[in-house]
Amino acid sequence: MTHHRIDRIAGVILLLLTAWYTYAATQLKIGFLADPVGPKALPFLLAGLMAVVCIYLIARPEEDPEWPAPAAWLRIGMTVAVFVLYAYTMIPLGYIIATTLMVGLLSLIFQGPRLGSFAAAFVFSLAMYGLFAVLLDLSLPFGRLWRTWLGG
Amino acid sequence: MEILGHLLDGFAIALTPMNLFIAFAGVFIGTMVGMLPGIGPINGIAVLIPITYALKLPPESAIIMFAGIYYGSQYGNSISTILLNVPGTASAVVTAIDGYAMTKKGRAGPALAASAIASFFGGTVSILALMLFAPLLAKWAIRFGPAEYFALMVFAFSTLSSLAGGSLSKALISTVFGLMLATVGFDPLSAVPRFTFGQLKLLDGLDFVVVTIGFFAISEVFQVLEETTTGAELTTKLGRVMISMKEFTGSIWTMVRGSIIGFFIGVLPGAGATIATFVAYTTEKRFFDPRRRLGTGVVRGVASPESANNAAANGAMIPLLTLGVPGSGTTAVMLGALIGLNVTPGPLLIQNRPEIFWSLVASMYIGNLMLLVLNLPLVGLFVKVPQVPLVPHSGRGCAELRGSSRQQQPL
Repeated sequence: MTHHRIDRIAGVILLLLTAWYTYAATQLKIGFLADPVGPKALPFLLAGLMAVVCIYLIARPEEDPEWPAPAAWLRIGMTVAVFVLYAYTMIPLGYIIATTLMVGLLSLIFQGPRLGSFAAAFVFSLAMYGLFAVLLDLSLPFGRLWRTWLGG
Repeated sequence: MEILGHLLDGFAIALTPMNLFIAFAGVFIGTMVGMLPGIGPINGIAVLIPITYALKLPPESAIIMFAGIYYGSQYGNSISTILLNVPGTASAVVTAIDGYAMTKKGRAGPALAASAIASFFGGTVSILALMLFAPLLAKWAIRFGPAEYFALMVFAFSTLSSLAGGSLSKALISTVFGLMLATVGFDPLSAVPRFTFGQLKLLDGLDFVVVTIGFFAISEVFQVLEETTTGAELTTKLGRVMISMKEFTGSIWTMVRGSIIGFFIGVLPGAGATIATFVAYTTEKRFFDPRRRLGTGVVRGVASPESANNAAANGAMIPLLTLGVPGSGTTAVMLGALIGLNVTPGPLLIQNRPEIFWSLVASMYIGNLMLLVLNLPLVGLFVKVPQVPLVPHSGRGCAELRGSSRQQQPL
């Protein structure tokens, strides 16, 4: 027995998203002299197209894919969590610490040795900061937290 | 004659010591990222974008490097495929059929040699075609107005939807979803802010480079996570990295067919190197294999997909450079990088900035020669790389990638 659930669920979620997008498009304010096929018309066109394809997907779903093993799910979930953590720690903790944390945690997810992962991650982050921020003069965040501590 | 003159000018730029070094760096990095599963040319280019900005490389040098990574990865991806049965990138999946079968027969060396020679053949044929066709197409496309561009985009999106991946409805959903994301921010013509929800950060829209890297590279990381990483046994006994004259002459027509198929598929938007290898191999199997030898580990089975994926990688440069339409993920990231360097690919590029196009063409001839040298006598060095545990490489890939995507945003 084959299932066709996932495509239907995805179709419904995307349809809801499209409805929200359409509502947001109705709120657009454009001058009354604007081109009738201008900035406001395009979103409606796209939303209409999206709705048609979504309804097609719900009506004619394909078979559910073969899901990865539960262990792989766990690792994917943890990886997403690490990415989100990285995005939020970058500005306050700075590039060096945030990157050390991310590379170290990712190495753990890939079954690296505990201490070695973080040590390598720290060396790597330092080297990258040195290359980009010091040698190449690109702006990488130093970390708001450390600046206040150092009184900078 | 006009072409020869331009080409000589191109060689004059490409042969300067700095550009030679950059071409070498590009093809070397390309070979490495192609060989390592989990890091593809997209990540390789993404990582180098901030470096090209910071070093203030001239645009022609930057594109020489990006293109070198792209076609270099088409050489490198067959190394881990042939030795480990682990395709370095998706476009080497077909190579695994005969390539790994040859390795199991103890003929890893000849398989690697066949792959390098076929890659060189496909690369060279497609550079010739790029040199002849791209200026013609650009001359024709100069007369394009808004209506023609709209038609072209509709064509590009529909071939993209029908060729990319298995499901038409899902590909269409991704296409429309991408267009929806592009409507965020100021409308470029009327400056009406759209879908910003009062957030100042959204006024500029979603940065193209950040979005493409996010979608392509992070999904690559997930794919690596999904696959069980059981350590495959690496063959270190290569044998002689050469094929016999008989094997070479026996696969010349295979390489010609692979190169032509690969080139034209590469030019189509949405159909990149991966599809080219499948089409080339199945054509070979269906029409040119009366004795059903393909699949048992023969040189032709490696030559066909390897000539096709190199030809496709170069063919994909045509719509990018002449129409400003990226045909694949890698060329999409290149487009973003070029716009950042103040170069807008499109019909006027070859006319207004001939030095960029012709030095790229010249560097591709040079780069392919370098790759042939890297892949024939020096392949013994490269095969040691996959023996280094893969973990730090993948982690590093995404770390740098996050770093580079961050830099595109005002901090």
